[in-house]
Amino acid sequence: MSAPFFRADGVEAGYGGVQVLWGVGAELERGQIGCIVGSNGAGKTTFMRCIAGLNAAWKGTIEVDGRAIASHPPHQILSAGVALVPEGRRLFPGMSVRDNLLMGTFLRRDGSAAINADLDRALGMFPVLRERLSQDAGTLSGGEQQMCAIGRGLMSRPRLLLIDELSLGLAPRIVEQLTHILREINEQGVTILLVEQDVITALELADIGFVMDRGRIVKSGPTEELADDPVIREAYLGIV
Amino acid sequence: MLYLQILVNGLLLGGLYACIASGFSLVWGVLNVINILHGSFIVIGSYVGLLAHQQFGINPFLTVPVAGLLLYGFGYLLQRGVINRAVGQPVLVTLTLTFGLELLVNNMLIAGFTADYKKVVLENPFGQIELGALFVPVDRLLSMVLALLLTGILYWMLRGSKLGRAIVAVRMDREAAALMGVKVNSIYAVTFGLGALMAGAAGSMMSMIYPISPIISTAYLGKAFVICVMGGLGSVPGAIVGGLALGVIESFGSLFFSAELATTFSFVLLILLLIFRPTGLMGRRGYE
Repeated sequence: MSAPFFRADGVEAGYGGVQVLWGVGAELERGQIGCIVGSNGAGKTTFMRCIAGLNAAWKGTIEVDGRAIASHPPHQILSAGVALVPEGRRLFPGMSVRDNLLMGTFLRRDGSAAINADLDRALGMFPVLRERLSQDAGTLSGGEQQMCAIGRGLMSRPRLLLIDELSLGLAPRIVEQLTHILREINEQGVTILLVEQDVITALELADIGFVMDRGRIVKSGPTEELADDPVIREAYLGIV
Repeated sequence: MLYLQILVNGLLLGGLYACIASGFSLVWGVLNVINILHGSFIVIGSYVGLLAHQQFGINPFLTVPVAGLLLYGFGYLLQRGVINRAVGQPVLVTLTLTFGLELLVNNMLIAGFTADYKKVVLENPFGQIELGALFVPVDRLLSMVLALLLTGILYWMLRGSKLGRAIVAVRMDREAAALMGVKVNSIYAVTFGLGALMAGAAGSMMSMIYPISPIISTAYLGKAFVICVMGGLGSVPGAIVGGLALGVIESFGSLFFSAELATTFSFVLLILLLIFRPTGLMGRRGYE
């Protein structure tokens, strides 16, 4: 049996003396969409930060395509093909939309022709950004900012795209548009792992779901199964 | 006519002030480090100009690149080796660190060069341009042009180059920049090096204008500080406007009061500015 494309095992991490993750494990096959759901403070964002290298993993392993990346610096993890769209978008507010997108290509060495082609592709996905190219990213609406942030993440040509809080604060119409685009990205071969507070959206979009509670994965499996699980229906969907 | 002459004198000096302040402001804006060493960097640049002139008879304009590159290297290594260890700390910690380094470097300068005032006196001065009753010394004019040119290059580099974009990105959001693959600690070292480069280059030109001594480093630091606050922190255009303004203010200050009081005068204006327009003349937004 071949090893999964993405694998985390026994990941422990925290801030200063406060431990947040208590042995988190998750696996994704190449080309899958995974989602992590759970209440506030469960450790979802910390886990994403660990994968991207913003936080060190105190213990445990994280592997992408057989390559160990736990506690590596962010630029090495990005070179390994992992890009994070962080919580709160974190665009560079005083930079133009174009420069924000181009920041995503910082490590690329494949020349401006390939980069321009990808810029065009990203703008094809998010046509509204084309009209805003020279505008400061700080002036965009929430939905446009999320599009710009996802576009920026894609500009590094990742094989694993991490998205922390896809739909937070966005109108339902925008969320629908974004999930549609994520499926498109996924069909082009990008494996996706997202954190999502809207469980219905998450279970609809993803193939595999992970339920996180107090720093542990308490349940995982195909999303159809999770959607039928009575405990999850009660705790997260409010349906008995 | 006298006022016009004073204005011109102020602008000539202000160009150099802009150059000095742009480096200080860059470091402050990107690293959130108030670099107390900045004045000593300028003094080292002046000594490069002085020594080259004394030993080899080289004009201090020609040592501008030498002083700049030397200080770039010094600044880069200092950041890489020492200051990067404290860079994420509250500003008081880094302030204390650069203050300590300043004591060290400045006392080494005093031990090496003594605290006596020296000056570069050119054997072949460039003369002056006369426009009616207006006198413009050519060496001053040249140093203003060169200083503003360097500041302009810094501005262009920050806006137009890949390295510049990385520096601006780190300034706006350190973590987001790291997610783009930017090595934040390297960018810090490069930025600190660039700040020192601007100081060294200006210092080399200052050697023809200002008396040279390790003990005037605090006067330079004070000027850089005033300009940064006047122009708005972390902006190159702000440093240019603030630098020219300080040059003019000092010029008129020494006319109306006395040369000794010129600095006091500019600090009084600074306090007034802080009360009535705390964002600085150019406001504050990104590093542009």
